[in-house]
Amino acid sequence: MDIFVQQLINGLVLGSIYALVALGYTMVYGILGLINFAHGDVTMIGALVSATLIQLLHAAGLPVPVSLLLAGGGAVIVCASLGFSIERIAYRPLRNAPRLAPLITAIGVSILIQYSAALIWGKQYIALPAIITPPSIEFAGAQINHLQIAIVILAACIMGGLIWFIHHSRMGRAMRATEQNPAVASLMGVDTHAVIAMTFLLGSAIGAIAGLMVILYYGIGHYFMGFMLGLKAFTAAVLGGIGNVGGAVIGGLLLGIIESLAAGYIEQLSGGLFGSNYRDIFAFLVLILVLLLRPQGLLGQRSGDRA
Amino acid sequence: MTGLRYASWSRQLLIISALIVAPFAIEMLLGRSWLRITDVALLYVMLALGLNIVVGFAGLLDLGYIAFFAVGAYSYALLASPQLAIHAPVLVIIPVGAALAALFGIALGAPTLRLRGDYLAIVTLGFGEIIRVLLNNLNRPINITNGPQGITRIDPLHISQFSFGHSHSLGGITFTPLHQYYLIFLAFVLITILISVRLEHSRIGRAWRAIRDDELAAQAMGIHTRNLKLLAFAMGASFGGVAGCLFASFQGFISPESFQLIDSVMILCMVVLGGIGHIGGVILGALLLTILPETLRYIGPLQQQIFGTVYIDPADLRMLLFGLALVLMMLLRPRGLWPKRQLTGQLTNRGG
Amino acid sequence: MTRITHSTPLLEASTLCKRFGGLTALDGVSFTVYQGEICGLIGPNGAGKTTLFNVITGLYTADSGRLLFAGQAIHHAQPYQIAQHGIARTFQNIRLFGTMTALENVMVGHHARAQSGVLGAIFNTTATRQEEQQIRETSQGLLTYCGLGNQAQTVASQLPYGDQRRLEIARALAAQPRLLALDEPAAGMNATETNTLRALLERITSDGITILLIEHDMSLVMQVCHRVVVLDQGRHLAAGTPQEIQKNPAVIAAYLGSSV
Repeated sequence: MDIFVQQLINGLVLGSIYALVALGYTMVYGILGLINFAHGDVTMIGALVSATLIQLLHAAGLPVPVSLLLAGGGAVIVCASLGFSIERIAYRPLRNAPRLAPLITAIGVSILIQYSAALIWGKQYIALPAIITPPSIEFAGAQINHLQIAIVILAACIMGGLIWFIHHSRMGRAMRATEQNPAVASLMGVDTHAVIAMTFLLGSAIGAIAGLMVILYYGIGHYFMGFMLGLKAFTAAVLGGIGNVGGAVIGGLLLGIIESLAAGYIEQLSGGLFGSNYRDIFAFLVLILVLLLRPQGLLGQRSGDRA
Repeated sequence: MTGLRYASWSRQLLIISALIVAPFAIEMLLGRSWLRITDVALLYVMLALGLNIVVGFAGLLDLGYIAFFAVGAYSYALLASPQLAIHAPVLVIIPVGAALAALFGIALGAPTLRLRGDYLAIVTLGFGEIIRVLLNNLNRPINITNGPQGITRIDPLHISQFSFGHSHSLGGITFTPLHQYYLIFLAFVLITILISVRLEHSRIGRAWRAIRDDELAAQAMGIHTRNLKLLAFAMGASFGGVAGCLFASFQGFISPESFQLIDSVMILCMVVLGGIGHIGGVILGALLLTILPETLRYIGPLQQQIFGTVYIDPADLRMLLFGLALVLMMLLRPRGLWPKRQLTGQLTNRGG
Repeated sequence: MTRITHSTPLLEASTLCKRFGGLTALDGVSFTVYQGEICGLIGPNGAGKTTLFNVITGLYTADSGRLLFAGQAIHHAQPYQIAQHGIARTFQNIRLFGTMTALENVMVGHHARAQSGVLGAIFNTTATRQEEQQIRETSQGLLTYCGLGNQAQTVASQLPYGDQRRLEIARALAAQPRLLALDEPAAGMNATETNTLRALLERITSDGITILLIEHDMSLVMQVCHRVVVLDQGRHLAAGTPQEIQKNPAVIAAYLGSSV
């Protein structure tokens, strides 16, 4: 089996998921200039809600595709309402507060979501019963299964849809206007509150789908899983150029691939000195390197704060 | 001025004697475990004051501050335990711990300090995680940190023959280790406060606040902003390093578990909750956030008594309330419980 | 007003260029500021005045060209080094340290001229205390000098607009500059405030500090400036006494052209 191709495929799948979560960060950052710390946890809720629904629906005897579809729909509804409420309760009142304040509430909300999940689902890992065993195919000396293919295709559709939405719909235009200059946009009749709420709704809904993908792909979930996932997705957003939707997609894919390749080769490269247990710090190293070498990200534009 | 000094001198004496008597009162009224909590609270006061230099004075958001605490703690643990079979004297270890933490602060700051606020926050967060992952994994190929198991049998604080790990009697009063640690921690806290106050009102402190208010204008005024930010990072880190040394000696055991992101967040919240940049507020924040969550430990037995079973794990409840408190706090009092006067209402023109 | 006779150059700019992407903000600007004068820098909006200021004070680095200050090359210097060389500035959109008092703002201005470090502060040494005392007194003096003597303890962001502008000047003066660069100090001021400002500027020059002044208030420029440099579309258009500039057809054309 070809390790390189295999890790490339794994990276592509992982990267698609990162990219979906990164969209949520980058959209909110683009409009509010806020790192929505709780977004990773919204994704976690998406994963755990999906897991529970799949189990319930499967136990009720529904066919697998139907229960997957319903579970995804349920997760989207839960996460979208969660994202909407977070914005409404924790961020909107702080629109004109000192810069640190919304960041602190974001951390607070993140902790609240995590421990609410711990109350609901417990602190142990939630395992999804093996209800689907996707068949694998050989591809260039590597194994690729239908689930992986489905994840990549679905992610691509969502991203394409989102980009179309932002560039061609009325709401999308309002979003871009608000991103560029909220004050002017609101003078021009854009309801910026609605735009911001919409941004959170969309980002969270996409996060819910990412959560569903994670739970299907790994088969396990955990109340704390949103933290690492969120951090990596944020890194992906920064890598691509935060605030830039296309950047989040590219950043996510790149990060997934870098991480998979690095995890696959690090033991070999370091002569056994470093194991794959270091994989989680690659994301940070990438983040630090990007910020040092190209702080505006791959697709971002340099903006200076000058006199 | 001298008359004022004299009046406050007697008041200070009163406060200091009250602080010295406090541990005995706490132990008598609330029990040993609360004395232990008080000791830990003092360490948190040190940490919060250290972070306040970075966040409060210089306005640099650091979400990985616990890493410096970890560096200090591991410095002490490695230099005073059977782990590497070294038992160096405390008077060597603490400066080493402080210097090493400061060095880490500079290593983190040098490349990252030109980043904008939120980016800096994320990079510091990543740095904190990197340190923790390293501590977890540096047990092979050479066993340095002993990995997730942590380091045990760390020497208690000792100055020549006097060990803080044993009880001592003085004039018929027995000082247990908890009392002794209380006193030495208190001394460190007082020094930290003194340094903070003096820095705040110095040329350096002014330059930090200038950077926080308007970095560009500060540069135009001849302030070497990069060096001053690094200085803030190094100073804050060294406080964290010293607190880490004290923590390791006090606990006798440390593991990477104690240095997680949530701990960084906790310290940041102490600073923000109390009143960012205000020394009194920061101390209040640190004490409240150490002591209040501890009161929740009675919730478990209480549930057992009332419902016959424990519905909510007190540790989880603590985190839930903590998260809730952060949100409510920012919504209701975004400048903290005890903010700096100048930033709020008091704008009367005293000079005129 | 007559031409200054002792014309020693203090600041010499030669063929400064600065581009932002496709936009050429400065296109080979050369001019000289002489010791002891008030030199006006005028031009229509977008002429490149503030960009030129930012290049002089080190916020931008020129793509090409040279800047000499008192004979030393400063075009690669960082902003803090420029301040140490002896150029202090104010900003078009006031940039005070908003949470600090007026007095503290001016005290920050002394930063580059003082020495006390961390250890001095921690151990509260005699030298540090003396320096602090001296900075405090000088700063109070500068506030009085700029007509803000009774506002020392007011938080900067709470000061009236005109006072904020003068506080910026006081803060810049605290850096003991040889050249004071003022970016539209009269913007938003009423007639009375502008008159006070004019008196202040004249007093500053009479105390031996050279002033480079960007200003849109033409009557102020014509009254206080010894010489005026005109920029248009990133180029040096003209230089001369206010009387010469007022009669210069190219200048008139540039202003008329831009005001349509």
